[in-house]
Amino acid sequence: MTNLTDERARWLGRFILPLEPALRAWLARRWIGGLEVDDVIQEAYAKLIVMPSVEMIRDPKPYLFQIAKSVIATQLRGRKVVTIGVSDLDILDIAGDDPSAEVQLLDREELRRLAEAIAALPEPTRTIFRLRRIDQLPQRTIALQLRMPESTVEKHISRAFLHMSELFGRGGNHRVSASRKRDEFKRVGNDAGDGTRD
Amino acid sequence: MMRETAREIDQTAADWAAKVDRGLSASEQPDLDAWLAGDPRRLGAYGRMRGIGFETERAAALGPSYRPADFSAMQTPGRSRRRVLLTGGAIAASVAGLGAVGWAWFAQGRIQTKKGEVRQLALRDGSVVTLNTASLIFVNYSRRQRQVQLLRGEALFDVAHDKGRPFVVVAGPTEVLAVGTSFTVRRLLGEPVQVLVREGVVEVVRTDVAGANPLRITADMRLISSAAGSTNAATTLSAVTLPQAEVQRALAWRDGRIAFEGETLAAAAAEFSRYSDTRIVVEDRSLAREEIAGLYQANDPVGFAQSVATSLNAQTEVSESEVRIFRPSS
Repeated sequence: MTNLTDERARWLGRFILPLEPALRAWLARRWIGGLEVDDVIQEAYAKLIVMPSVEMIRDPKPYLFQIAKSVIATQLRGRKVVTIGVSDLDILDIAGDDPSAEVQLLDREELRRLAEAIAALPEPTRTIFRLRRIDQLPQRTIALQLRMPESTVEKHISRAFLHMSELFGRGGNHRVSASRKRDEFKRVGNDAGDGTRD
Repeated sequence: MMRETAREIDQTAADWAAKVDRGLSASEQPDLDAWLAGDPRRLGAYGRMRGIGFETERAAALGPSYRPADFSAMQTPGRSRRRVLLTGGAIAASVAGLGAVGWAWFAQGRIQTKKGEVRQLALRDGSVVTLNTASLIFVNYSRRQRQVQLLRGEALFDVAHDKGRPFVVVAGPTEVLAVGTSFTVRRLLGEPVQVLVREGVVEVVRTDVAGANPLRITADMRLISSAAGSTNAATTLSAVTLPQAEVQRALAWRDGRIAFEGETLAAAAAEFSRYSDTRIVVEDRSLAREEIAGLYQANDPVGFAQSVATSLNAQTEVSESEVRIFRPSS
């Protein structure tokens, strides 16, 4: 049986995926005993899936890093290597910045990133993904409309997912830092305030 | 045997996520389970891809007016990085001339949403209506006028430009006239009708008040149309300009979410009741006055209650039809 609920998958996409580029950067800066960063990432996700509940995680960032650290420790212990290159101090550093702001992108920013990601897909993947996600047509209907086998539509949806995972998970597109972005919005808000006021 | 690379796992995980996206057949489920059992990394990669699948569902809010060309400048290396700045409205702008496939084209008739449902549909002229929870509209297009009656609830209108045929939303005695623009109208029981303009200009009139002048409001303004029965022409309609962040917040429902910024817990509970039959009950008055901030899933009052309870040092008790938030007695 599959241990993954929709709810948990949503949570991963919502809270963990945006942290992945930071985790990758953090892992890249540290000695992780020759382990592959990608392997550590996948195992960290797996650990987050088998957890009975994620409700008590109020701040996912230090938590995710802690999990990654334990993945590394477990792997290295298996090889009878004791020293690991991450210290508790690192974890404290991470807890210091403001991850809640980082994950709570405003709707507009999220949408813009998605819009860009879809635009970057090659054709015909782009058209198919657009019909699936923007127009919300079932894969079957898309196949009928575009007169192609359903398996082809499915193949392109898979490609689109993989592409998006590169983009969002590896931080393939530029993101304004959360604090700067908030300032921008504040400014826009003030500028908009010159109209009629009651 | 060579150890499977993370990349290979990601590819297979994406294939499975795409299969789940169309619905797994009974015979596929055991195959998926067997694949997942083969390596702990597979479950992680699969969960990650499913998460991406859910995250990309938000793209629905881009609407049929989405034009990839508006967003592709950044991805072209070497070329000038003309970055298309997207104001909130531009996402749904330029609705005219869209070539959306597979949309239901309504010209006439009744459209409604159930509690907790958000629905987006294209009208025959290319205008797009997004209906919020528990809303009912009646579409009536004629040669001279595009009329939509809002009988209850809330709707966002992205109006296709057509000078010769104005677009009119009728919410009781409040009429909102647009040519080509984007705005919401909200008509809830016991509340004055509200109009929020995201883009362009609309003109609002009160048909039940003698001598009332139409009021024009522009982007990022909210208009309140006082309760029917007031006869003072000067105060029936009033408008204020909102910070843009607040306009965005007011539109969070399009993605099935509710945004709070300093509302009381009591007010937040009332807002959730628009979207779900599970009531949030807060008996403790001091608790009810606590201020709430954050973005929440509209259809998950229990999740909201639990997360709020944690931050307010309170507890929750979930039963079939309600979730109680209370402070443990000391």
